[in-house]
Amino acid sequence: MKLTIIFKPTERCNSNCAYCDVISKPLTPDMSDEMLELVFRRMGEFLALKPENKINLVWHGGEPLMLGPDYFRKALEIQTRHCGADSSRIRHKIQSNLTLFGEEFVEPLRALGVKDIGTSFEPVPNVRGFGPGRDSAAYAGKFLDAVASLEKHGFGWNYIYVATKKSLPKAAELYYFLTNLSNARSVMVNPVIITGEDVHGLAITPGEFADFLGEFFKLWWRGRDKFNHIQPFMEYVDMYTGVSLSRVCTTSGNCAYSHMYIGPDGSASHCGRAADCHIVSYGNIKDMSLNDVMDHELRRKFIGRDAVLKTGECKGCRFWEICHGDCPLGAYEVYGDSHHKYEWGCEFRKLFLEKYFEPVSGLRYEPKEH
Amino acid sequence: MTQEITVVLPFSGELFGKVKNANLAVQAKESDDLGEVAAAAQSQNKLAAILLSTSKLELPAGLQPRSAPVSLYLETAGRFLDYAVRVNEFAGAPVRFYFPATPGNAVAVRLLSSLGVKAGLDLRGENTDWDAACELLHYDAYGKMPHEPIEPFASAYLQHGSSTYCEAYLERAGKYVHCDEAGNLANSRRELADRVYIGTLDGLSGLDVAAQAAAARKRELSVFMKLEGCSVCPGYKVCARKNPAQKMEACGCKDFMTALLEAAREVNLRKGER
Repeated sequence: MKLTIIFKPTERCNSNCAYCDVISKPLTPDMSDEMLELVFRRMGEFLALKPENKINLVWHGGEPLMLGPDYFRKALEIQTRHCGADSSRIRHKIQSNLTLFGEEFVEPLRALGVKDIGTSFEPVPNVRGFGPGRDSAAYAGKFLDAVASLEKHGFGWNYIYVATKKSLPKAAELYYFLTNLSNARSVMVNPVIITGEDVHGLAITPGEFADFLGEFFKLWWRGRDKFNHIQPFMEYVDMYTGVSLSRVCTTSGNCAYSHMYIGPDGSASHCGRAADCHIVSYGNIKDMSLNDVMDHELRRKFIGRDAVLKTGECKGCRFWEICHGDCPLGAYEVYGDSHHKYEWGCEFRKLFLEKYFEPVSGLRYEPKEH
Repeated sequence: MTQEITVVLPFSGELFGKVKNANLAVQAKESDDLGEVAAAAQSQNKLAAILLSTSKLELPAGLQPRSAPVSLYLETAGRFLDYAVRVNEFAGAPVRFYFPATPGNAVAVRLLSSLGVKAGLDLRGENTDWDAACELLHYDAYGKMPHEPIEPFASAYLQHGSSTYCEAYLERAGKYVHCDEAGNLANSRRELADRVYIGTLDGLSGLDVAAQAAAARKRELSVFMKLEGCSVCPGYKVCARKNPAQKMEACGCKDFMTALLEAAREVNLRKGER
């Protein structure tokens, strides 16, 4: 069993992405040394209690590199003290915009065992960028310098592309751009999630995202052996060919057993989305162990969701095993209750699979159960 | 020097005296020099290849039967009737004939390769005819006629078309350095001509090849500053702007590179099926 902790020691960010409100909202101060100490003490306790378990600690933000290289050194020193030999069961991952990455981060990240860095990039001008004017050229320059540096030092990198309204007319260009850019092992394409008012007009509909991804898919399917892995395409291919069932947190139906969030002040929630949207709070690790967080009574609602949907809203849907009603937090945002399917994800997935994936690939999904 | 590198340098006793235990690719001046080149280069170094620019389609006078591979660069093949009687000699020799990519030369390469002669197009010229190169590529990748593998296509097929084709011309930052008569080093023949030096032959042992490769990667990544041109080209993966003579966007290479990437995929698929 692997516990994934979305670990947000800072909410600060050096970028001003149009679809993110992090720089305009009141921020919780960075995680203190005492709290960092507590996080690893809790992890040590958890690993001692669960000798068969592993932890993925995903450094998230804000922008985690804003903490500076010494913060990561400090984390390693604290981890060694509190987790000892169990440190081998902790895997550090990091999600960064890379624009602050430099030589000074190589040694501390490597010491933590970081091999791959997750990032994201946007070639459409003025969606991601620095400062009030959202300077995307300066951003791109820093990002590409960091990529060269990462590769020089032998780090792998994977990235997420967030599709917005501005992406839609440029699907083919973006496909080639994203696959040309990297030696990255995989590229993940996600739809933009706008929380609050869509002031920049970036939100997209499920149909628009299906069409956008459909254009990608037509190009990828024909030459899939020469281009990178693109998610969710590989995931669907694996599901359709019986290699595996859904693994991504939003569609696995298992996130209640595997994910938690820890914020800068020690607040515990279900995941990054739950915390960002302030929709689920499990308390604070000052007062509870990680095991308490995983056993929290609010989780039971998430755990019971599969059974409710399978016999209710999703009954008879042939894509159930692929989708599981999509992200429970998405449903929670809409209905204030996770016991619904997430309509946006459901509609997108059906459209994409039926209009593009199945006709282009010639594959057809036949459910094994239901 | 942190990894194995091949120095591409002119035939010069003075330059040879400055390097020891290195891989050399030597640019001979005259056809008669080849024996001398081999003896001189191999006294203290390893001879990886010989390059020679010549005007007539014939085997070099000084060619040894067990010579290092020789690349002969010619402007044109000339009339078939003028070299027809020598084709059998060419076929068994450790020599590859390279020509600029013109329609006439593409036909000559097709003819030579079908007669068992190693030949290829030099795609580094500013006047490269990409359509002619594309036609020859189709012959090489999809044609039924048995023929010798044609360069630089064969190099491109090697790794499913991942930007290796310029290695046929000994061009790849981090793997080859190019040296002039004065001992200056550059990452490519073009950069040598443009005096973009990375060091000198005297300092070869201290040359940080990994840093050179990283710097080259950084230059390569600069195309991704914009969502246009090379960054969105369907053939970028096989090209990666590794061709030092290639001009961005305007040179008309897009269709050729796209076809080369596709051909690499097809050829490798066929190999996998066998």
